[in-house]
Amino acid sequence: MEIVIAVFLGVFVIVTGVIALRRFNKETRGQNK
Amino acid sequence: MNIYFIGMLISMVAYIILGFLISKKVKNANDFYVAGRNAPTILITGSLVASYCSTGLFMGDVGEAFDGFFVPVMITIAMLITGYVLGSMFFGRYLRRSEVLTIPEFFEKRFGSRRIKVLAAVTALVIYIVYMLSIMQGIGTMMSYVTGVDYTVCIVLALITFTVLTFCSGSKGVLITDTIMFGIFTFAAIAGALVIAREAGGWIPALQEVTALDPDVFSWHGNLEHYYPTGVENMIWALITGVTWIAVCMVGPWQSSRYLMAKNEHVVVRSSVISSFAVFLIEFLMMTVGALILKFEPDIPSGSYAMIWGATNLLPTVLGVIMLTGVLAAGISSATTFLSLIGSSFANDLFEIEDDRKKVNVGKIAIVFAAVVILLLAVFNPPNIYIIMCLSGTVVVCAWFPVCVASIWSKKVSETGAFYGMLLGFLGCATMKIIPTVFHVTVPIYLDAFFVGLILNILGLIIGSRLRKAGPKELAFREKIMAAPEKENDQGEVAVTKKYLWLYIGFGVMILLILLFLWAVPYVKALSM
Repeated sequence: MEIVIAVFLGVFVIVTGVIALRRFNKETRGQNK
Repeated sequence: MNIYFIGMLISMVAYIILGFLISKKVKNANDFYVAGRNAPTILITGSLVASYCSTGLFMGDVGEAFDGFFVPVMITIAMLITGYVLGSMFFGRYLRRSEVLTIPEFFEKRFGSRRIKVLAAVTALVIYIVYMLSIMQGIGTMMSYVTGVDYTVCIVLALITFTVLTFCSGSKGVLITDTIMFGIFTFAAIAGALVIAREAGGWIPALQEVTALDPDVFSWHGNLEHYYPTGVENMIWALITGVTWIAVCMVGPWQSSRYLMAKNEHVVVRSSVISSFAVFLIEFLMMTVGALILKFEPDIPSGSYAMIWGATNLLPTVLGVIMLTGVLAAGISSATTFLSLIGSSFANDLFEIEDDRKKVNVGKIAIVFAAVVILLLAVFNPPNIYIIMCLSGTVVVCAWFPVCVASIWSKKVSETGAFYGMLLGFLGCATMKIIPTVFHVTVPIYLDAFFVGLILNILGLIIGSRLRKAGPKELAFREKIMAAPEKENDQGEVAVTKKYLWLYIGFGVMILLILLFLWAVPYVKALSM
């Protein structure tokens, strides 16, 4: 269970990074609405 | 007077001198309240982390780990750091575009309403005072425990330091001193953790020894006698607290207001990336060390004293002094941020002073008045740092979070919806916090202040926005802040900011590896030994 939690938390941070990067890319391409 | 007290006194005098020196550079209200809107990444990062890291971390969170609640709290930490990047991307940049002095003023401009500004300012003041109270109690408890000096004398000394500092130099001084203090306590946390781990026989052997002594300390469910009797309930607590603090790091006024001082939007994003990893690293090191101290002295009277015990008994004297001065710096740096926000709330939001000089003077009077009120509350309240600190986080979620998010991302939300959402959320949260405390009853988890306040806020937002639709002025302001200013589109700056976001993804991989190989795998191996 401890290993599952460690992986989950790391992946959680990575996923938010991907969301933020996608948003930033979208906005800098002028598609912000 | 021992060496630790001398170290703390020297640092406090240094902060006051620094405040006087910086005060000469404060020319107008813009300098005093938003540091001239010209701060680089390092200063915004320093202030974000220093505002977050207070005695609540070094005494509260470390105490939780010592008491066997390492994993539930670590889950909330790994979750909350994402709030920095999500907050900068989905709230902070738009907030900065509105060119306001305070977040309540942002609500006023967004919804064309004075009443929502006043309501936001009042709820913010409650949050600031509650949080400052926890900081004061932490500083007083730590200083009096280490030095043997009377608790009241200790908090008066700390209060004089951060009040003079904030009074003289405003936000400009707060940013600079926050960054210096960030450097001090980050160094203290890293060096202190490494030395204590070495004293304990090495990071992994010590973790495994503590696991042999008490298998619950590093287990997923934590100590089942601490809060809730089952692991599932402790996990629910961790997830709720994690979501709460994601919201705090996204929109909490003492965090997101830092973005108003940033030089540009790229600074907003970059500082959030560095802050998220810095907070994780400091928390992970300190909390693990807090649990490792069980190996040396399991009978410390309260977990809140674990870090102090480690600093005074396990570290070389010089490093112990730096460590405790660092904890004091963490407390003072958070207090200066809150105190400067109280000043701006009074001068800009409640009294609406237009004249530049008067605006600064009213803010300064409010700072002194708030300091006296907090001193009285801190003297007469019993120390219970962690619970008090958690209260302010819940108020942020229940009163502010849905309204903040909707104000940027919803075309439908209107002033009526925002006002009643914030009001109902705040009242619901406060009521559900007061009832169990006053009547000494335990409410079911689904009636927790978090759920009641959040649901009432969302209901208020939806129903209010249906009763009165958003008007053209509200929509026009939203359209204005959704468009990035031309100067933010410099391709060189954009490319660097993208690298920072990739770096954040890299931090995610590092966090996974740190948690896996410095906690989970050694713990599982220790169980099978």
